[in-house]
Amino acid sequence: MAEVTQLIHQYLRHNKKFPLVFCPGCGIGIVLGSLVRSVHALDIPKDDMVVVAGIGCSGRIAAYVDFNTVHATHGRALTLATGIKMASPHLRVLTVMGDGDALSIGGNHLIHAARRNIGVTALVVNNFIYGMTGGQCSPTTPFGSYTHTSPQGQMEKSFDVVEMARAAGANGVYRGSVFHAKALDGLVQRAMSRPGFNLVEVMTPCFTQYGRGNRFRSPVEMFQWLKDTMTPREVYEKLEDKTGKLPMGVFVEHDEPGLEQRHAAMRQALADKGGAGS
Amino acid sequence: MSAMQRKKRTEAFLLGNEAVAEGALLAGCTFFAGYPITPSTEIMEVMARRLPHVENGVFLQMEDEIASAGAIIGASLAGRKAMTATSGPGFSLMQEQIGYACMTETPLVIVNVMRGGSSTGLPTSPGQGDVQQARWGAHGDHPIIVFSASDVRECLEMAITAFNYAEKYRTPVILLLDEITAHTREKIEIPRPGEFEVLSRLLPTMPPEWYKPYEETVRGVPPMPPIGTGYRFHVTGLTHDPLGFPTSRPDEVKAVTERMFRKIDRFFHDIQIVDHDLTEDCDTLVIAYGSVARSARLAVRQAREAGVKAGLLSLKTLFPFPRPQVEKLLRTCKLVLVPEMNMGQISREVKRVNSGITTIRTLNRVDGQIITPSQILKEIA
Amino acid sequence: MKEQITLDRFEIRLSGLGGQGILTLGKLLGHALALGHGYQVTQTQSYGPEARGGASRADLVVSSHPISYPKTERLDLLVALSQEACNSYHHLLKKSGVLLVDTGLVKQTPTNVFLGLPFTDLALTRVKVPQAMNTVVLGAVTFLMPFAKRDVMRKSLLANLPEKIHKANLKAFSLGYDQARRLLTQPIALWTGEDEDTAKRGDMNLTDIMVED
Ligand SMILES: Cc1ncc(C[n+]2csc(CCOP(=O)(O)OP(=O)(O)O)c2C)c(N)n1
Ligand code: SF4
Ligand SMILES: [Mg+2]
Repeated sequence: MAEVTQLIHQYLRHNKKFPLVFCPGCGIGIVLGSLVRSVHALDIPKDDMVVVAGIGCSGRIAAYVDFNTVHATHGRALTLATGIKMASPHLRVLTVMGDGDALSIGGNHLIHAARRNIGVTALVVNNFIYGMTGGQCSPTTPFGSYTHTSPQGQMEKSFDVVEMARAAGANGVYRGSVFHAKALDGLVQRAMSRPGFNLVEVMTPCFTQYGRGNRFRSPVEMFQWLKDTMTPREVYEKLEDKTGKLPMGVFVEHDEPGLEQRHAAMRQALADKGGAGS
Repeated sequence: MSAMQRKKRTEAFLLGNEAVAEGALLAGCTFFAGYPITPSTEIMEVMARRLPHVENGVFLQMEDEIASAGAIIGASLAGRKAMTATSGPGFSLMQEQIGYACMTETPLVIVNVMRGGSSTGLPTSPGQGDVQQARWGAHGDHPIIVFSASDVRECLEMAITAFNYAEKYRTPVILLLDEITAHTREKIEIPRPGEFEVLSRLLPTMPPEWYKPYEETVRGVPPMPPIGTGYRFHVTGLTHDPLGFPTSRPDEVKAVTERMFRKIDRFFHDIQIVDHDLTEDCDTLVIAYGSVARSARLAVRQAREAGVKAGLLSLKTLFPFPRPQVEKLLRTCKLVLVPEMNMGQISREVKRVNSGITTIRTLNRVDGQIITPSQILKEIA
Repeated sequence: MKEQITLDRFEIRLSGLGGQGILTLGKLLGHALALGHGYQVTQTQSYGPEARGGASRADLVVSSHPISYPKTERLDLLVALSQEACNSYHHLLKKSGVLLVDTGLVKQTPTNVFLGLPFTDLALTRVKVPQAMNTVVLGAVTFLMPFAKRDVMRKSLLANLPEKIHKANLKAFSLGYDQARRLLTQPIALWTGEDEDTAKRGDMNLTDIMVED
């Protein structure tokens, strides 16, 4: 417990008006915890850490953590993060985006951030729903699920975030869940310590806006669902029957330099040739 | 670059767009993000060539204009002087980000080279249809500074001024050009560093524990440290308290909103830049901006030759609207003509100031063509 | 040696087809007159789809005084390198204005008062570099304009072109200049004659003029 208290003191803002905005049973707090533990484990100075958040419940994480924090416009966190990273490559830039934020309104920025391989870590907090606006379907809402804007069941297919990030060229792609918090910490740390664009999809329950309308009786049942569904990738691949299972773990790891590194090298080459550069 | 450095002053034969880029670089711009669009693209192309040779210069071509605006906001938060350039369709896409920059008081320069028509309109023809959008394009009440330029020299000067004012007032500044100004090539002298003023945002002098990013100050403009220099604070587009955290407490909401307006309004005299041409004794006044001001300059000369006491007030600052200068001349002139390549966007402001003092006539041209001196002459002589 | 002549407002249009190097010629000429000769110059040009393939046009206003209106109104010199350009813009010439055409490409001029050289042909047969046609034109125009200085033009030309094409372009430039001197009269008399006064300019229907832009 003492350790937790110490982390809270060190990384949460004292001058922020608490309590948290999150509902009881929400998983976003665990994402927040994982972020703080990862920064601590990697020993990143708070002054070097930049969290750029999108708009949504998940985006509210930014206000609580004692880093440099930017709460951007809906869907655009990666664009600001790109500007910050390119302007100050020594900073550790991480974005927190909801599934709607990252994949719907910000989908274009996501694929281009991956293609560009900008040195940013992207946490995509996937709760299958637009939480903040009160429970409308999102691009990850499972087929057939009920939301306020899919009262007859979702009729559109959902995105596979991992496959999309892979196809777009991300350096690293990971998936974890808030039920598997320790494993999640490992994935977030791994993503944060590698070059280029690294994306972690975090599966998290939203009982308030998604669970209630889809036959979950409590947040606990949703955590139970995560426990039953999320399967380490190695295990998942050996399964005969994969129905009802979702793999988690490491999916992609390339070692290409990030865009900011390529720019630095280009400027260095120009400087060596006698231009101003550097 | 220090003012001490003696660089030779060079003459160059430049497009308006190229002059904007030169001005930006002289003002200390080290970050450009954009998306190609006619008739602004040359600005981007010059920056792509030049920035890699500038110390820590960054040029990015983004996936769209929303991303471009986002990237320069991020860069500015990280302490850079940052710019993007676009035209109507891209300018529309940027509006939410511009509002965010106003709310978070992030200095930016956004160049909009106006084309003709609405929507895709007339990509290679001039227009001035984005004037009111520049003022009110982003939703919600917000102050903003909008400049224009009428020739190549002004393009360079106003680009420098735009950066200076963005930094001085912690605000986005919109620089509106039209296709003619942007695509006219003229000879200009590139000033030497030290021959013009370059302003930078105020940095905090207090220790980080005492720093409040949105605090009330004498000028209404709080100091702004670059991200990552020890001042950890929260930036949000939500209405915020002096510490930057979201608030809906009426007293805090009122305070921050009013300060944002006051920081611009109080220094109104500093922000409004106009050019007087033969206005001392005129009784017939033309109020114009952008390339139309050039046509007007010739028309006013010709009217004088024909015996009409004509004068020209050309506006470099469009918003906040230079009310005092305009009002003074309205009181002494019997006729005021406002020629514009739109259906009447600045004339609307002039009429508001006028409220019955004198006769205001408009000359509106929306066929994608420049308003010619003879058209103006016909109205005033 | 030509004297530095005071110009009030001298308007030039270079017109023809895309690919003839007209925009480059415009920029070059403007650069030389502005920086080399020290005049005030505004240079504008056609943009967009019309600048790729179809018609191409570059305009210059040259003056000893600051230029207010940057576009051309009434031309002192029209260079037409295509039949269509000649047809479209001929009516914009001042009464004292000069029409210069490529005699190989413009078969029919709307007036018998014009100057002509087979620019394209000269570039092809004498310089053996068809792309240098615009430089042949530059040479001829340099001879024709009483205020343009040959050496200054040549210097500007070199300053604006990559070194590997200097030789061909110098040849083209001299060829244009010499051909003009040999075959054309220097129309200096035309240009120093009484100009249409500025007030008249105000009566014209300029809307008509601008429609081709
Ligand atoms: C341009 C714009 N459109 C719509 C909204 C309204 N809005 C706020 S949050 C949100 C969706 C949030 O869903 P998600 O990104 O999944 O985040 P969650 O709340 O589920 O964490 C929407 C549509 C907005 N703020 N801005
Ligand atoms: S609405 Fe859902 S996502 Fe938002 S705080 Fe509540 S439980 Fe969490
Ligand atoms: Mg969501």
